[in-house]
Amino acid sequence: MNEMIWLIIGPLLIAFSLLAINLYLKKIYNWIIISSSILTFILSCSLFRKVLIKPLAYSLGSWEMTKGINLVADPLAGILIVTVALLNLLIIIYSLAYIEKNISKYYTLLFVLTAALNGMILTGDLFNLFVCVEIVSIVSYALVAFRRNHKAYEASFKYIIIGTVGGFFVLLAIILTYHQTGTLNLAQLVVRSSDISKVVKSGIISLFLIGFGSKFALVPLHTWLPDAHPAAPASISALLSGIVIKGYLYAWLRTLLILSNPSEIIASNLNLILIYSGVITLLVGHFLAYQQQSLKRLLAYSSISQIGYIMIGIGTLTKQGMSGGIFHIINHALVKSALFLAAGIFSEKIKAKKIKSLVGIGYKTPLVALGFTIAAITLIGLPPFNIFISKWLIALAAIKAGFIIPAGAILLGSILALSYYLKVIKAIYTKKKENYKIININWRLKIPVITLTSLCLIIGLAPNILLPKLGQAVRYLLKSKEYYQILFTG
Amino acid sequence: MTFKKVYSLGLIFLLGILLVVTFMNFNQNNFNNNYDLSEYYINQGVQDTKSINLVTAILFDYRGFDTLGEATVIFIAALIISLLTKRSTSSLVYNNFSPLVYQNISFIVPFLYIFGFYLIFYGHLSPGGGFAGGVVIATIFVLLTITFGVRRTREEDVLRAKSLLENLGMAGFVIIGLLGMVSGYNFLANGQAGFYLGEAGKLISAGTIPWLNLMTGIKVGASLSIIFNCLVREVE
Amino acid sequence: MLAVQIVIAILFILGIYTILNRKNVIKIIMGINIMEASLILFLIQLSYKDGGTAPILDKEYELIVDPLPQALALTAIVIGASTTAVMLFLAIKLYKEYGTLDISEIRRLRG
Repeated sequence: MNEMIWLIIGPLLIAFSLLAINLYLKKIYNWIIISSSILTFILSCSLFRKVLIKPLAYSLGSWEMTKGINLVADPLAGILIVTVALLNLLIIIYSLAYIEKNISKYYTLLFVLTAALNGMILTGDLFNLFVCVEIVSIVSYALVAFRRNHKAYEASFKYIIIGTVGGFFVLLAIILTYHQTGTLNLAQLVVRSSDISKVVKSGIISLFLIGFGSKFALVPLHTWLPDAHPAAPASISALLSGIVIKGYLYAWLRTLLILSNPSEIIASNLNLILIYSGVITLLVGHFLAYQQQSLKRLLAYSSISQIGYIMIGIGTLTKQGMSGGIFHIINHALVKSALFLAAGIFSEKIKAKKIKSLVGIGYKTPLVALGFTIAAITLIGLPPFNIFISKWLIALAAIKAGFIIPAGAILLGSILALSYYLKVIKAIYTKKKENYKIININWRLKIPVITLTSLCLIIGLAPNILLPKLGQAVRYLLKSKEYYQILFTG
Repeated sequence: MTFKKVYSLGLIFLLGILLVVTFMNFNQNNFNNNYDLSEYYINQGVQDTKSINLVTAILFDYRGFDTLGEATVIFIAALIISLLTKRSTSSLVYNNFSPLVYQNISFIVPFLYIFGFYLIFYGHLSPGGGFAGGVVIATIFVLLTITFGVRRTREEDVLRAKSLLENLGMAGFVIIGLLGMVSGYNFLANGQAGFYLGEAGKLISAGTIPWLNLMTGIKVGASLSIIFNCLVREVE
Repeated sequence: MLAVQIVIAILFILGIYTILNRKNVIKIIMGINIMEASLILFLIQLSYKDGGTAPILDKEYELIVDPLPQALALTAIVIGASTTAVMLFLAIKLYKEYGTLDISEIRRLRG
C-alpha cells in the first residue's frame, strides 16, 4: 500500500465519480463524501508516521528516477499533508450543513483541490509542480465565483488575472531553469544548479518570487486577496486562507532552497529582500486590517499580515527561524480556518457581516462565539496558545540573526492585532438587551470550530508534540543535498 | 502622466532590465552538452515505449502524470462554466441558412468523426493524439449547434450526458493508470508492467498509450462542447 | 538565438504592459494571451536545432529536435486555453452585471 499516490488519485477518483453517484446513488452520497475524506485523513497520518522514520520516493510509471516524474515525501511534506487532510475533513463536515446549492459541483471542486494540493506538496518535478499549482489556482477561481453574484464575479476576475500572470512568471522561471540545466527533476537540480551562472540564477529566483508571490499575496501583489477571500463561501475562505496560500508558499520555499543554498542566499543578500518584504507585508496587512468594517475582510487582511511573519521566519534561514515559520504555517491554518468558519456561522445564521452588527452575538450563540474569541486571542499571539510559540520562535531567530527591526515589527504587529481583534471581541460581548434567545445551530457547523480551537489550545500547551518533528522537517530544506539523497541513494 | 502610469511604466522597465540581463548572461556552454535527458528520450524513447511519436511518448508515458493534471484543468474549466451558466430559458433557437449549408454539414459530419478518431488512434504514430482529436470531435457539436440551432427541451439531457462522458473519460484515465498498480508496478506503468508493447510503427502497439489517448480524446471532446454549449446559452 | 530571446522578452513585457495599461477587459485578456504566446515561443526556441526534423521517428533522420519542450508546450497551451475560456466567461458575466467592459467602472470592491 503506497499512501503517496493514493492521496492524489483517491480524491481525484471520488471527484470524477461524484456526478454519477449524485444521479444514481443519491442516498449514500453524504456517506461517500465523509468516509472518503476520513480515509484520506487516515492515509495522510500513516504517511506522516512513515516519513518520520525514513523519507519516501515513488516513481510514477516505474521509470528510473531521472526519466519520469517522482513523488517525494519528506517530514515537512508529511506535516503539511496531514494539515491539508485534517482541514479538508473538517470543512467537508461543515459544508454538509452550510452549502445548499450546486452540491455535486462543490464537492467535486473540493476533492480536486485536495488532490492537487497533495500533488503540489508531494511532487518532485518542477513542471509537474507548475501543473499542480495551476490546478489549485483554477479551482480557487471557481470557488471564489461560487456564490454567483456580481461581487463574486468581480473578485474572481481580479484573482484570475493576477493569478494567471503569476503563473506565467513561474512558467518562465521553470523554462529558464530547464534551459540552463537540462533537467526538471528537483533532486537532480540540487546538483546541477551550480552550473547556472550567478546573474541568471538570481534572475530565476526573482521570477519565482514574483510568480509565487502574486499567488500567496506578498504585499505589492496582494490586491486580489481581500476581495477574493470574503467573496467565497465561508468554508472556502477557510480553505483558501488556511491552506491554499500556504501551499504556494511551500512550493516557492522548496524551489528557492533547491536552486540555491542558504549560504549562497546570504552571500547575495537575498535574505534581506525576503525579511524586509516580510516586514512590509506584515505592517501593511495589519494597518489595512485595522481600518476594515467587514469581518471577513478584516480576516482576509490579517491573513496577508501572517504571510509576513512566515516570510521573516524563512528569511532568517536558520534552523530555529525556519521551524518557527513552518510552525506558524500550521498554526495559522488551524486558527484562521476556525475564525472564517465561525464568521460564516455569524453571517449565515444571524446575518451579521459588519463588525457593528456583531453586537450581542456572544449571548445568542455562546459556544461559537467562545470559539471565535479563543481563536482571535490565539491569532493575536497571547500565551498559552500555539501562535505565541511560533511568533516567539520567529522573533528570537530574527534577533539571533541580527535583525532587530523585523523583531520589533513582530511586536508592533501583535499590538496592532490586539487592537483590532479586541474591537471585534468587544462587539461580540456587548449586551444591548437583557434577554437574548439562544439560536439553534446545526452540530455539523459547530464541530469544526470547536475541534480547531481546542487543537490550538492543545498544541499551545504541549508544543513538544510537534516541535522536534519540525526540526527534522527543516533539515531537508536547509541541506538540499539530503533531499538529493532521498531519490538517489535511498 | 498620472502617478499610476509612471508606476506601471517603472515596473515594466525594471522587469525588462531583469529579463534582458538574464537572457544576456546565459551560460551558452551548457546549451549543447547538458541535455542528456532529451538525448535519452531521442535514443531510447522508441525502444522503451514503442511509440514512434516521441512527443506522445513523453506526454502519455514518461510524463503521463502531467497529462492527467492538464486534463483535470480542462475538466475544471468546463465545470466552472457549467456551474456559472444560468439554467432554464425554454426558447427555440433557429438559424435560417440556405439548404446548401444543411446538406453540406450533414455530409461532412461522418468524415469529421472519422478524422477525429483517426487523430486519436494514430496519436502514437503521427502528429495528433487525444487533445487534437478531441478538439476535432468538439467541432462537430459546434457545427451542428450553429447550423441546426438548439432544441431547449432536450438540451439539459444532452448536457448531462456530456458531463457523464467527461467524467467517464477522466475516471478512465485514472483507471488505466491503476492497471499498472494492479499488475504490481507503479501508477501509470506501461512497458514495465508487461503490457503488450508490440512493434513500433504498428497501430496496435505502445501498450496503454492509445487507450490513454482515447480517454483524453473523449474527455476533451465532451469538455469543449460543454464549454461551447454553455457560452451559447449565456450569450443569447 | 539571442535575437529570438529578445523577441520573447519584448512580447512578455508587451503583454504585461497591456494588462497594466488597458481599460478594456477583453484587451487585458489579450495581454495575458500575448504573454502565454511568448512563453510557448521560448519553449519552441529551446527545442530547435539547426536542420532537425520533427520528433516522429518513422523514416530516415539525422537530427531530431528536443521532444521534451514540445510536450511541455502542449501542456502549457492546454492550461492557458482553459484559463482563457474561464476568463472570457467571467468577462461575459461582468458585462451582464455592469453593462460595460471598462475595468475602471467595474471596480466596485475596495482595496
